[in-house]
Parts: sequence; C-alpha cells; structure tokens
Amino acid sequence: MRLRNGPAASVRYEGILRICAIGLAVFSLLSWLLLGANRGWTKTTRTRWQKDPVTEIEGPLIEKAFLPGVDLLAVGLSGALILFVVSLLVTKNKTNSNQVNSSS
Amino acid sequence: MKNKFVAALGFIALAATAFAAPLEFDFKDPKGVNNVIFKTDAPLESINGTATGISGNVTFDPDNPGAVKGKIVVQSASLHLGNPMQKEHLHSDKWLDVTRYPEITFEVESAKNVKTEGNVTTADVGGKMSLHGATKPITVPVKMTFLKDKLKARTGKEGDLLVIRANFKIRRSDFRINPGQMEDKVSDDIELNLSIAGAAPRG
Repeated sequence: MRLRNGPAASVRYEGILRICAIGLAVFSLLSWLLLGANRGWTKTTRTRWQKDPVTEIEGPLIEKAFLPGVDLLAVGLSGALILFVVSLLVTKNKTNSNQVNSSS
Repeated sequence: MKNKFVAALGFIALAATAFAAPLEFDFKDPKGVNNVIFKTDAPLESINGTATGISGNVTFDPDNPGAVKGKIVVQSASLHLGNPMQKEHLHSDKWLDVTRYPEITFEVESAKNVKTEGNVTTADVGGKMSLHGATKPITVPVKMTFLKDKLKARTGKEGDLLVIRANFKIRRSDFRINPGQMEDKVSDDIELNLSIAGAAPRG
C-alpha cells in the first residue's frame, strides 16, 4: 500500500484504522451479548410463551424484535479483523518508506 | 312399588345412554393458543419453529374415548421461524410450497391401546397425514384430557373442552420434501409437538 502524504499521514491512518477495528469488534460483541447472545441465526421476531390457565397449554406470542445472531457477530468481527490487517499493512508501508528515506 | 322403582331406574339408565352422545369439538381457537412446535436437529443446524393456524373438528365420546374420530388442519403459511430468510425458504416451492399445498392435515381413523384414568385418556391414534401433497398413514401417541364444563371459564359459554397433546416424529422424505438433500442442515426426522384445545359448546 502506498500513501501519498508520506510517513506522518500513514501513522494517522494506522491509528484511525486500529481504533475503528477495536471499536467495531467491541460494538459487535457487546451488541450481540446485550441483545441476548443468540447462538443461532439473526432473528427479527421473538417468541414468548404464555400459559392458558384453563387448558394449561403454553401458546406462542410472536413479537417483533431484533436478535443478532452469530452471523452478524461474525460479520462484525471479520470487519474488525480486516481493518486491523489493513492497519498493519499501513505500518509496513511506513517502515519501508523510512528505510528508503534513510538509505537515500 | 319395587317394580316402579326398577322401571324408573331402567328409564334413567336408558335416558343417560341416549344423551351420552359423542361430543363434537371445534379446534379453531379464538385465543390463538393452539400450536404445533416443529424441530429439526441436523449436524450443522438446529431449527425450531411454531405453527398456530390450527382448525378442525374431533368427535370424542367421554364414555368411549377409543371411538375418537376427526380431522386437524394446520395452515402451512402459519409455520413461523424467527429468521425471515429461513421462513421464506421454508414457505417457498423448494420446501413446503405453501401456495400450492396450503394445508397440513391429520385425519383420525382409529385408536388403539386406549387407557383412561379419570379425565385423561392415552391412546395410539392411527390416521392419515397429508403434507406437501403426499399422504401417509401414521400412528401418533396422544394424550386427551376431557375438561367437562370448563368452556365457560375460558370463553364464557357453557360447554366442554378437549385438550389433545401429542409428541411424534415424521420423516420429510416420506412427504417428498427434498428427500436425501441438505440433511446436514435440515434433518430428515422432524419432531412435532402438538398442543391443542377444542371446544364443544352446549345449546
């Protein structure tokens, strides 16, 4: 990866990318945990069970609810990983440019 | 005097027999509590859903529970899964094809191993199940609870309730639902838990 504005800009990009990566990973994990840690696929409804007092049958009450599943968690964590890898590439680019500058 | 008493007793017995006709229970539940839970447990995926669009009629005689007859109907489109994409696939022509086959039915034909204790009867009920355009004879172990005069507590009308519970398995391959395909994600065995109540109002 080649950055036009030189080493100073690459340091800034690297920091932003890592903060975004950490932020995305934390956001994905926390939202998944706080919204029920659903280990299945993402659901848009929740089923509550209500017992009929006469027949004693538990009937389903389907409510609209967003329950992120492991698919959305995986997308979030993958995105964070990609951002982190890109930040490493920026670091590598910075190191290479420094070496070129010192040798010239 | 003795003869009159015997005659009166005979009349009462005859009248009781005449009035102990089988009751017809309607399973269209206004409260929407009646449900079927379906589960598939494949190596890669476990899927649980519910169906609530239940109707049908069952004739049940509390004095002769083994003579139970009737038909239970589940609207295919009422099968619900929490994940909208899975639900769409389930309803599509690739799986249940709910537009072409809008009903899943079970028609009761006979009952064996009938045991009654109090108001609870257990039996192995034989009948024909129709799903996805295929009809198969199956036997289902059922538990029937007759709740005399309990309809009033539920709907305010005089009458009786019949609660039917059944847990059984079917094979989707028996009903031509993608036989032998995608069994790592959707198992061939489908577990069904039926919990339904029917009402027989009086008057």
